[in-house]
Amino acid sequence: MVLLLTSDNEMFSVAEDVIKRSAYIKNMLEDVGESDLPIPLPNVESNVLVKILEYCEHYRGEPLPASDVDPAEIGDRSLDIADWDQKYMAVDQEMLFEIILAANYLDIKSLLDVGCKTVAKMMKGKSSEEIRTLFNIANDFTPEEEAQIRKENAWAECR
Amino acid sequence: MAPSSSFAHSQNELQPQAALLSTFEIRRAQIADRILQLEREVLSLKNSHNTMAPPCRLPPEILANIFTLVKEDSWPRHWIMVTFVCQHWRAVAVDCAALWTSLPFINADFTSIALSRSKRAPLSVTFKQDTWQKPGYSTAFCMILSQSERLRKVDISDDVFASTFCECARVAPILQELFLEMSKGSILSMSGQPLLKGFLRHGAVSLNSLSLTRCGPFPWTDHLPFAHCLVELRLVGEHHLEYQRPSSLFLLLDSLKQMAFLQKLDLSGYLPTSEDPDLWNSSQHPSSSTTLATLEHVYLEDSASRIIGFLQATRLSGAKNVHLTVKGQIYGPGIRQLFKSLESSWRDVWQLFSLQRFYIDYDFMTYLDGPDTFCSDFYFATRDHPQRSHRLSLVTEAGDEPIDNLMSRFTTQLDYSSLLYLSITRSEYPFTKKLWKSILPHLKQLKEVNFTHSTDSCASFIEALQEDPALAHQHLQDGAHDVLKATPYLPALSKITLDEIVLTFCQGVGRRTLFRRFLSVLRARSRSCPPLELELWSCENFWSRFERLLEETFMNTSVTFHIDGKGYLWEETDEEEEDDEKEDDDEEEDEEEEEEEEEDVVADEDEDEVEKDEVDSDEEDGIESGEDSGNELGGEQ
Repeated sequence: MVLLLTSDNEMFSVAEDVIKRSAYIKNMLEDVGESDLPIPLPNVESNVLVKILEYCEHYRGEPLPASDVDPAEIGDRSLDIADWDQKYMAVDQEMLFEIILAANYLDIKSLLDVGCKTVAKMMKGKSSEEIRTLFNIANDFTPEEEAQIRKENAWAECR
Repeated sequence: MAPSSSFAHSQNELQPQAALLSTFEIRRAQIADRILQLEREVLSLKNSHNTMAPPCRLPPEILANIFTLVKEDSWPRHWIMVTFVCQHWRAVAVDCAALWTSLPFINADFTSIALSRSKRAPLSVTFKQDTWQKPGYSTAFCMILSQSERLRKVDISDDVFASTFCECARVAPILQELFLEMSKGSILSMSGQPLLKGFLRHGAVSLNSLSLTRCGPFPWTDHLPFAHCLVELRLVGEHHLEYQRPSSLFLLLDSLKQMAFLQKLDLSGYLPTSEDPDLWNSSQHPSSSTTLATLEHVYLEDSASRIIGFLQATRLSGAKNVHLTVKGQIYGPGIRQLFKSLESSWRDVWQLFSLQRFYIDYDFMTYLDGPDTFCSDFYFATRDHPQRSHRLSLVTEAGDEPIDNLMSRFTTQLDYSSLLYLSITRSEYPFTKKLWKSILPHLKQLKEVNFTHSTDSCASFIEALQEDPALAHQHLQDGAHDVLKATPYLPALSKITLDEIVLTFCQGVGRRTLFRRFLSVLRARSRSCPPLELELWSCENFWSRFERLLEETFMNTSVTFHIDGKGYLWEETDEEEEDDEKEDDDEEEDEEEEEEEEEDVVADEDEDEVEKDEVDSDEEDGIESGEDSGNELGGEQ
C-alpha cells in the first residue's frame, strides 16, 4: 500500500497497482523504494484525489501507456470519449478543471487527455461570446485589440 | 468703423466666455483621463477576474492542447474564435505554433499572420477545388510557396494551384505527403509533359506518400531521391492516354523494386501494355517474376490484359488486400486467366489461406455514371486467425452478359469448400435459383449467411433450399425422429441474417407464402442440422402475425430467432387478415395433403412404392416452385 497526503492534510492508503497509473507516483516509488512515509501531494485536495482514485481504480489492470509517449502526439485526436469516461467527467466545472490539473501534476496522461477532450467538446461550435459565458470569462481586450480581432475574424470568415 | 452685428461681442464680453470654455475643456479632458483610467482599471479587474476562471488556471501547454483538439474537430477556421475570448487565451493561442501550421490560403493577410505565428514549424497546405476563388488566393499561395522548405504536406485538387505548384515548387526537403489532382481533360494533364519531373528528381527527398491524379507521365526512368522513403504511391490517369504509361513492364517493375518500403500501390491507367503475346493462353508463371514483398495493398484499375500482364510478372508475397477493377467487359477466357495470374502472383495467399468470407455487393451508387458494375469481395483467412483476413476485391462492368452468368464464371474460379461466411448486399441483380443450386452443394462449411437489401436473392435462396434433394427425401424412421438420408445443403449453417429484406418478397406469390415456406424449410432442416439462429433486422412488411408464426413454427426446435426492435411490425388491416386467412387455409390444405402423402409413404413397406411416391412428391415441389419462381422473376423484372 502507498500512503498519500493531500494538501488539506488527509491521508489516503492506496494499492500500489492502482496508483501506479500516475507516472509521477510510479517514478517516485521506483526512485525512493519502499517507505512508510506518505507521499505529499501539495497540489491535490482530498476531494479531487478521491475522484482521481476512482479513475485509477476503474482502469486497474489495464496496460499502462508507455511513459515516454504523449497521447497528444500519437493518440486519437478526435473528440470521441468512452462512455464510462463521459460519465466520470460529468462533474461541475470547478471539479473538471481540478481533475485536469491533478492529472497533469500526477502525470496520468490518459486522464489528462480525457479532461482536455471534455473541455474541447464543451467549446466546440460555440462563438467566443458563448465561450466567455460558459466559463465566466470577461472580455478584457482593449479597443485596439478588439479592432485587430475584428479584422482577423473577417479574414478567417472570408470565402 | 465696421457696422457691428447683433451677434458681435466686444473683446471684454469674450474674455470671460473664453475662460469658461477653457475651464470646460480642462474639465472634459480631466473626465476623459478619468474614463481612460477607469477603463484601464476595469480591464485590469477583468484581467484579474479571468486569471481566477478555472480554464485560465490551466498551464498554457494544456490550454494549447485543448485548442488543438478544438481545431481538429471544427469546421475550417472556426477554431480561431479561441483567440477572441480573452487576452490570456489569445496569447496562448498565438504562441502555439501547431495551431497555425495548417494553412488555408484564403487571403494574403490571414496567410501572412498564420505563417508568422507558425514560427518555424512544418507546414501543411490543403486546397480543394473552389468555384469561389478570389484573386487573393494566388498571392497567399505564392507566399506559402516562398517557404517551401517548411512544407510537410501538400494536398491540392485544383488545376490552377496544382499547376502553380508543379511550376514553382523547387525544394521541399521535409515534404512527406504530396497529393495533386487535376480535373478531367485539363489542358496540362493532356499536354503529355511530366509536370513534376524536376521537382521529383531534385526537390523532394523525404516523400513517403505520393498521389498524382492526371498529372501526366511519371518519371519512371529517373533515379528518384525519395524512392527509399516511399510507402504509398498512387497514380491515376486518363486510360486512353498511352504516353503517360511506362514504356515497358520491365521499366515499371524496375522502378518499383527501388521503392524498397512501398506498402501501398494504386495504379489506374498506368500499367504498360503486356509484352507477352501468348498472355491469354499462358498458364505458367514466368520464372523471372519480380517479388514485391513489401506491398500490402495493391489497387489496379486497367484493362484485363494489362492487369493480367502485371500479375503474371510479379509475386505479391506480402499483399493482404488486392483490389482489381477491370475496365471494360471481361469474358470467360479472360476471367480464367485473371484468376490464374492472381493465383500465381498471390500464391502464398492462395496456398496458405482458404476462402472464408465472400461478399457480393453491386455498388451501383458508386458507379452511377458508369455501366452496371459487378463487385465482389472475397476474404481469405486461416482458421486460427480469421481476423487477419486477406481480401480480394473484384470490380468489372457487367455489359451485355447476364449478371448471373458473369457471377457464375467468377465464382466457379474459387474453391468454396472452406467458406464460412457469405454476404449478399444490395443486389441490383439477384442471385437466381439456378446460381444458388450450383453453389449450395459446395458450401459444406458455411456457417453464416447474410442478406442485406437483397430481397430477390434471399427469395431465390429460399426457393433453392426448398429444392434441397436431401429434404425432398426426408421421411420418418422408427416413427420417432425425422432424419435426412442424404447430406442437406449447408450442413454447417448456424446463422441466417435478414437485414432490411422485404419479407413479403413479391405480391405475385402471395404475401406470406414464401416466408412461410422459408420457415417450414428451416423447421425441416432443424431435425438433422445444427442449431440455427435466425436474425431479422429492420425487415419491411414484418406483419404482426409473422411473429406468432415464428413462435409456432420453431416451438420445440433447435431454431432460435431474434427480431430487431427497429423493424417494422405492421398491423394488418381486416381485409389483409382475411386474405391471409384464406391463404393460410389454402396452405393448411396443401400441408395436410402433403402429410397424408408422407404417412402413406411411411406405411408402405415396399421400397419401390416409396421411391415412386418420393418422385411424385419431388415433381409436385418442382411444379410449385416453378410457379413461384416464374412469378418471382416476373415481379422482379
